Amino acid sequence: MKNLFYIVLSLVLISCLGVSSIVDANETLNVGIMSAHGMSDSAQYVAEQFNKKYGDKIEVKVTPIGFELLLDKMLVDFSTGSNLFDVYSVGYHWIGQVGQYLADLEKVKSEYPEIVDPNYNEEDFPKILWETYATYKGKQIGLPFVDGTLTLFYRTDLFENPEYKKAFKEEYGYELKMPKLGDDPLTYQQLYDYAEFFTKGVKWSDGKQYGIALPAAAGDPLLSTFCCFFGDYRRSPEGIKEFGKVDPDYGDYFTEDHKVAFDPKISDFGLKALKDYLELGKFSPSPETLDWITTSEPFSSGLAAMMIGWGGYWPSITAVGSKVHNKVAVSLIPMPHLGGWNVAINDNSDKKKWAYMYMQMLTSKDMNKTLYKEFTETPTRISTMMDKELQKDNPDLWVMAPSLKRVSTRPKMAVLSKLEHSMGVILSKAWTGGLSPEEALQRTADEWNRIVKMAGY
Amino acid sequence: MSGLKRNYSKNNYSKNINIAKTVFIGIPLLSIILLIIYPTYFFIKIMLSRFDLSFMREPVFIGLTNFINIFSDIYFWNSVFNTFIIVVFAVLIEFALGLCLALLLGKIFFGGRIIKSLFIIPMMLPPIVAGLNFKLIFDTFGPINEFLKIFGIDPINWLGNPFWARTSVIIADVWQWTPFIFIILLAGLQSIPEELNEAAKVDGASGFNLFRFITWPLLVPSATVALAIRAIDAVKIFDVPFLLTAGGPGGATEVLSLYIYRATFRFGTMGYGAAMASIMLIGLSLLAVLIIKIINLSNRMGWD
Amino acid sequence: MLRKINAISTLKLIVCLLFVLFFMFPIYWLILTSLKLPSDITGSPLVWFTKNITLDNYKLLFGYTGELWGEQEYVGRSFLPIITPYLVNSIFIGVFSSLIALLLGGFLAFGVNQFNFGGSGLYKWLLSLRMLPPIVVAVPMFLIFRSLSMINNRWSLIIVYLLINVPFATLLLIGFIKDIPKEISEAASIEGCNNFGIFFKIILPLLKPIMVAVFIISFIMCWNELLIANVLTASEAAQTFPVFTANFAQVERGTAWGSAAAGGVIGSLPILLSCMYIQKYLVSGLTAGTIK
Repeated sequence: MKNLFYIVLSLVLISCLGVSSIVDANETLNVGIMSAHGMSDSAQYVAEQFNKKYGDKIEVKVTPIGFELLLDKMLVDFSTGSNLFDVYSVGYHWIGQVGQYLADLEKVKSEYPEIVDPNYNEEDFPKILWETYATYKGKQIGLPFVDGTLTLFYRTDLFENPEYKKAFKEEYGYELKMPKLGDDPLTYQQLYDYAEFFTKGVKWSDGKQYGIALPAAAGDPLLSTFCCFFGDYRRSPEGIKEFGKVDPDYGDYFTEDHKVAFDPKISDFGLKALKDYLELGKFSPSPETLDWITTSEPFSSGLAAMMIGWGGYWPSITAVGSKVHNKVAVSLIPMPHLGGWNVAINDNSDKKKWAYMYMQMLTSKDMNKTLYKEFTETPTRISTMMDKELQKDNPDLWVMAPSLKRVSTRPKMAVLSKLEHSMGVILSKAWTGGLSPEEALQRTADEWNRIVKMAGY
Repeated sequence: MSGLKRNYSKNNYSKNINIAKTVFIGIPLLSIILLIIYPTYFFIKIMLSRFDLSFMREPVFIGLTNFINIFSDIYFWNSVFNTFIIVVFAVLIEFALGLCLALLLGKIFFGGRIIKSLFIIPMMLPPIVAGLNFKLIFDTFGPINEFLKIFGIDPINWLGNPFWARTSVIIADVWQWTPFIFIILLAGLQSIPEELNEAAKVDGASGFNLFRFITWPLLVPSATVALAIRAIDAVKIFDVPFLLTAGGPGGATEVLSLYIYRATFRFGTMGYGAAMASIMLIGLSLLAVLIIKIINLSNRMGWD
Repeated sequence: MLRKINAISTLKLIVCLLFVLFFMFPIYWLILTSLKLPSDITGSPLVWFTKNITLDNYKLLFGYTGELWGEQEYVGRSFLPIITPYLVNSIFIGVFSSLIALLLGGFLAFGVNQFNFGGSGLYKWLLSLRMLPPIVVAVPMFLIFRSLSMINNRWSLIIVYLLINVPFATLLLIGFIKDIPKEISEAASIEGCNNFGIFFKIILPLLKPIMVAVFIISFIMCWNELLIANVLTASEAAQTFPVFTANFAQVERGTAWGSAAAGGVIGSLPILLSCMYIQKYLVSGLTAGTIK
């Protein structure tokens, strides 16, 4: 019996040696990428290409990480100097929280001039994307990887239906029309009228019908979508006069001198925006439940005539199995909101040279086109967005460049998570009826001021 | 087989006993203690520090400031409130249902094994799977609302309305843990000697009286253990609110564990998170002590 | 017994069936969703039962890249990482942690019983370990294993889970060991058996079924754990099944509920397969020895 025990013990110890994870027997470049939107697929594809070229010296390994867990993982990794991953895909609004831990790319480039691709062509990125994704506090800390703008999706079969067009003209006095390439964006009034019309004005569905699926779930959806409404006022001529220019590191929610811009005490634009949001939400299945995924559900199953969501959802909404396959097009909302991701290097990494080479390959001109074609990876390069061939094949591409002309952004601040959290807790009470819109907005603004002050901004 | 050695002199004997003691008792205890020492030290260190991952790489000692801040933290009290509501209702409902079930099934012997086997599935299912599962079920276009349609009830916004969101977390918890109470109470019931029931019936007791004077008093020990364990575990609830509602809508289901997790990992304020966790621990200990006192009290009141 | 069938009995039966329905419905729904076509999942009216079942949701989890749901075209490539490494990790970690915990717990239970060590203080201490919220140990454990370069290593999880499993195994086994008559071990020591002999040759064989139950329950506890597994691991080299679910249950590409449900079903397999065996020992297991 005792012998058996010792045999088992030794087996255990041997397998312990054998199967414990091996650290860097062969040089490995660890890349952690968000697991959705085809991002990890793209990273994987590029990794394979990269390994073909440099596989004898280094192997790139891509690990997909879920959205909910990515920021947490990054923070722990960075702050403990663990170097779990050399390269991360970083949502730009998190840059405030992790910016100090991202490697300065200018330094890397000057240290290894031979790896810099002369054809990389930084100007090919829209200036707003370069400014938002790639820079922070004057340093270059990332390369733009995936663009994301809040876009309007709508049902072509409903909006191009001649009967409905006639009925709409009769009731509202102007044409039922969605902006196409070259047109101006919708106005808020149009959006509201369209939503009202398709909720109450005409019966187009056998079951329940809604004019729009509008996200307002606490967290990211609320923060981003409200910014569409507030940003519209913020970047209007009156808004600029009232609040000053938008500081890229602080986003649309703050004034030029870094106060909370939607604070009712400073101006009533905030309340106006909130009321617009709430009014539009009346034509949507309960917005406070709709996050990015659950917004596309009512739309894809044919319950809503329009929806606001990230452009990157196009493939899933129009997939062959979807009920609205072939019946969807995109258009411009009055003020789109910018999301999106860069790729950045962990400052603790000892393989910054390889990391930069990988990231360069991932975001190069040709690769941007390839990734868009293969994985519908929303492109960050102007050359891809304006490519006539691609625009012909992909009905959702045309809206990407125009969306960037006038777009709202989030705060790139270290306390962003807290701000998002408190807005989620307080402001969403305006939907659930816990607070009046005025109160909800005032309290949110006060909370934001308090958080920002406590952080020493 | 070496069991037949006969070389036990007196000295050898006590030496062998000591070796045996060290191995059998020492090794396991040592391994547990080793696992706890550093976490305890670290925990105490950072709960008295400011350790804001976005700004600094080393903790900075600030004494009890974290705790002072906790008292004015509206999200903390919000999470305490949420946890309290969810725990109280969930545990009470679980107990009531578990008791019902135990009484109902107490006398069914055939199929009892199968039923017990089926009922333990909810408890041992990975909580994250349960969360995912209920996300599907509580979907606005999901089975529950469809079911309610039969009764003419409008679809309920399970995950979007604060009240209903809490209810859905409670329902998910009830689904998962009623079997726990049920099985313990069932065991307790089955340990009541049949003669007692017979004797009482002969004396004319029946139905409710039977329950009140015979069954219930004998069930109290099991019931208190079940309640105690369940209550303490319930306060730690994390997986279900995390996946089902992510603490929403508007923080209505942000329970204590979830808020601590967010403060520690999402906001990066680890010192603050640790301070809150220590308050949670103190709360749990108080709860445990309270429950033990209640058990002792009931014993002393002669409920035996 | 037949005489007892009357209104109350039938009422009891009906209520029983309702309860069974209540508890089993979500399981049914999970399995059903995992076998549904995507159009059935998000469609209205709701599909309660379908003959059009598909195994594609499961296939996707294991890396299938061919045609899906009978359709020619599908968006993107497999957007779910392959579940196999995660399952392997969960099994590996569960087996080893439970085995080690069983051994250590057995030792401790035997030692406490044999040498009358500890008493109620030890008991209460072991019980109190149950109160630890996992978040308290998550970060310090991360720091410890980071300094040992063992992050993203399965053994770090195996070791940490001992903190939960050893007290559990000990408390459970103490209860059963106490029941073994002292005469048996006394007879053995008269025969010349030392303590090791008693443990391995007498106690272990007697406790075999209970040890199997403890092993299974510990395995399932390791299998279900999420928070610590998420913190201590970074990639599929060591990540377990719950981390996989948390990462990809919200797959954004077209709400892959079918595959998420399929993942859920796979994750429920340990309990589904072992429920009949462990229900016997469950009371002791759940109360970890406070009642028997």
